[in-house]
Amino acid sequence: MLEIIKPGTNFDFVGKNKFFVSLSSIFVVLSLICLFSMGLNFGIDFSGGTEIHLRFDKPISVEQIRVIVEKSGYTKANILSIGEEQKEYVIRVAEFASIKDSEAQRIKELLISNYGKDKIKKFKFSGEAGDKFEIKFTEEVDISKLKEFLISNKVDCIDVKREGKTTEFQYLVILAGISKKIEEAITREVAGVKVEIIGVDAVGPQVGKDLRTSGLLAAIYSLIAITIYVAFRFDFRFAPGAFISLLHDGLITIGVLSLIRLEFDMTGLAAIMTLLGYSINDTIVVYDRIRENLVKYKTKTLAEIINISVNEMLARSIITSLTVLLVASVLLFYGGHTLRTFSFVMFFGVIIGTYSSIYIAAPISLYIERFINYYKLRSVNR
Amino acid sequence: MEKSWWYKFWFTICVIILSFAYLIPTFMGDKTPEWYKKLNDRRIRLGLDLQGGMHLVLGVDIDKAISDKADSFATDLESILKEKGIEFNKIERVDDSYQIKISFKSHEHAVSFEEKVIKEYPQFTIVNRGGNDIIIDFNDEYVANLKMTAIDQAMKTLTNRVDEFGVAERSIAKKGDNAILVQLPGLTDPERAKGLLGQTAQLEFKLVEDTVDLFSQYKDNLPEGITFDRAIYEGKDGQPVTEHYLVSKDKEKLLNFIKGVDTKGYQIVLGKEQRELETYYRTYVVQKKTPLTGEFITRTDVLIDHEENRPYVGLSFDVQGAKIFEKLTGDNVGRRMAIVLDNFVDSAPVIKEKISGGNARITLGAMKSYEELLEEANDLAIVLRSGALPAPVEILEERTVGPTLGKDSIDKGIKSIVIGTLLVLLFMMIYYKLSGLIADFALVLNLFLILAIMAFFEATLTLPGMAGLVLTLAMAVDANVLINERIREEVRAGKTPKAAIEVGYGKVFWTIFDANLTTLISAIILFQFGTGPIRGFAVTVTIGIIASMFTAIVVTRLVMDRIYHSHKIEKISI
Repeated sequence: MLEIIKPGTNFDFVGKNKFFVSLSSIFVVLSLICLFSMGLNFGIDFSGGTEIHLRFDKPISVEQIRVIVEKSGYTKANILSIGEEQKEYVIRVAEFASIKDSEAQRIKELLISNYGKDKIKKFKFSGEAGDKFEIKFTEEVDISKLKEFLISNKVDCIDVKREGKTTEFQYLVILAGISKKIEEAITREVAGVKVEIIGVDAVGPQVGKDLRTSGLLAAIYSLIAITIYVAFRFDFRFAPGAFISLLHDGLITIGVLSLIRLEFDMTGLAAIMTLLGYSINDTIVVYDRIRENLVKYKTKTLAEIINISVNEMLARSIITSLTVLLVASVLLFYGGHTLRTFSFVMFFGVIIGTYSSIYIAAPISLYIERFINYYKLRSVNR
Repeated sequence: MEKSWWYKFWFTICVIILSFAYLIPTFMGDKTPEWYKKLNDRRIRLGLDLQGGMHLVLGVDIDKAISDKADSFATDLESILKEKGIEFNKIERVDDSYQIKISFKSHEHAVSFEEKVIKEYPQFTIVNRGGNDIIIDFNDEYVANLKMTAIDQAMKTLTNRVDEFGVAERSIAKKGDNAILVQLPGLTDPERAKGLLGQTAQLEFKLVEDTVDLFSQYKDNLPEGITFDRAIYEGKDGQPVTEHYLVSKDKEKLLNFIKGVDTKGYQIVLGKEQRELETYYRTYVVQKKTPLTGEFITRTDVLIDHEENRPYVGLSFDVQGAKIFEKLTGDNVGRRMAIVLDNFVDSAPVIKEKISGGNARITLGAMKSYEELLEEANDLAIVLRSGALPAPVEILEERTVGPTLGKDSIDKGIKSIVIGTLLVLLFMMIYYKLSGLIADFALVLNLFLILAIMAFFEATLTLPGMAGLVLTLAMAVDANVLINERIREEVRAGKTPKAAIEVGYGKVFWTIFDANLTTLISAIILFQFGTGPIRGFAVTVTIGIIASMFTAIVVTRLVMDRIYHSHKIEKISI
């Protein structure tokens, strides 16, 4: 029999709980400080913006790309090199629409100077609506001439279409997207390079905000649902421990994500929720054994029973954590950049989830027991 | 062995066979034999992140559409009032509402407005009278109705446009209250798609020129897949009218061919035709000019003719539209009028008589059941309304994955699954020996079962889904670890293998159940809130949890019971 933990092992987990509860409290506070001072490095799912995944046929340095991207007028460019060869990059910018308000203003003035102020009824551009603007004229204009005029004045327009009512003369100008602009800029600035856009993610600012809210809600709901389930299936005394240890795992993981500036996106959120599921799984296994031992050893104190139970489950906790860790590290190595945050959260989360089941969830049920006993005693004494 | 063991045994065998049967189309792909496809062609779908393609979320700006409508009515009012001799100083829309404020020259004019004009517009109510001013507003019912149907209309428009790309397996779905999710797998020209989908719908009424024959001259040298056809319908005074048109199943082909046809000053537009459950595309020859557009429509409803018990579509025009419509129908009784949405003929009913008063009725084809008619009437009403309420759509979110990136992701996903699974298998085998091997068998079966269930539901596999899959396997091992550790404890306590197995499985069941259920809760909540790839993840995890309960508890027990069924066996390899 191959045994990681020899039977009869008896570590005094409960005896050290003051130390670990304090340690965890410190970490939770530190995480909160990290979170509030630095915030999370939101991926575009949550922040809004545009992310472009490019591949070149020859190496280009990060600096070269940064210069080009910033020259094109995009801010907060985050450039991630993929692989060792400097041929593949993910570029993230804060903009959703390919032109800025100032550029829109320039176009408006151009149109006014060309068509005359009295002929243009309305010019509408909104950064939230993406790569297009609307012009309303007082009379019909030639679509192809309008397009030519715009292109000759360096407006990257893909198409011009008439829309709306027949009695009104409204035209829709569709502009080239950010990805196309950056692709063109790189081809222009770097001689003889072939650029291939292999993926584009663009999320409008409103959507980003909505996703952030719904993501937070998802995490909160799942926390509440799990706690209710534990309270219902086990005992009222166990639920707070489960809740606090889940909160502990979630907060510390997010704190670490904030500290190491790993991109937090939808997949990261999925990982956090999976982690909550995993962590409660671990807690339940320990609780279950405590419940069983409560019946088995009627004369022993809860502290002793917790100690026995945790020791009995120690081998299992370690083995299961190891298998999950194995898989998480495989994902970290082979999963690519899309899964990086996910794998990291799982890797880190498994360790912290196992730790919290032993050092946080169990002692808290002990505290609650003591608390209840104290009040019972007091009411008897009266 | 006991009877119950045999039941479970045969049940497991059935599950294994079914799993393989369901996985054949997924693994063989296009090489699946035809006869098998007929039997079962369900397979796992690849998410856009793996397959490549485009994912768009379009927001429908309903508010803007309704205020536009108020604006245009305000403009119309000016001419209506002038015509009726009602004098006013100013007509304007009240900011941040749909209300229209009219300042009349005198109180008498205001009264005659109330008496003569506003009664003709049931969609308005008077919300305020003060001196010479009147404020009118759309009534709540009208606004609610507009809001409710605006998304349906936008969806219909988008569906038409998306079909232009000829993308197989496209999907268009409502998302929340005012957004639409469009998924176009395999689409390679995102810029074009964005341009097309971001436009506002255009509804036109055009006269069909059925007597004009543009196509018989090409009849003998049509490309393959396009056929020439004639049809006869009852025109004016019951006279038969013969129409000549082209039909094809392939829309692109038909469009390409039409480009070369001499239109003789007419215009050719396409429409759909149902033939024995299959959709064909056909041509219509229409007049180039557009006498009437959807902007004049004020409302459309699906109504029932109680005498004939047949559903039909009723529509109303505003004053200006009613006039044009009256003349149009009066001049062209017996001819057909094509209802064209975004350059695509939705239907082409025959004009039966001159229609005045601005209320028209469109009756539908005769040879159909009540339900079919009702559905058709609903569809048509949506189309007509999209002309009445052109709600602007805006791109809120765009995700494009190129085919190379998709392939990369598949490679990464498969590599992770294979290596991850192998490591877990190896670990279990070393640590628990024979019992580990049994758990491994269950784990591999679990993997197949998960994939088979996904194939059965035609679920979507994404890259996060693949990660979820390996992770589920790693967590599924937990059940066997729990069982095996428990059996070890019981053996140490001096029980025989058979008894230890009995106790081990029995005591651990509820632990495993509770632990899995909480994970399930997280996964289901995630599914509710997540988008695309994350939903794929949630689906994989959910299926994984259910499948792993079966394999880890039932299947391993089956094997264990078989090996240690006799009390004589004293040693257990664990």
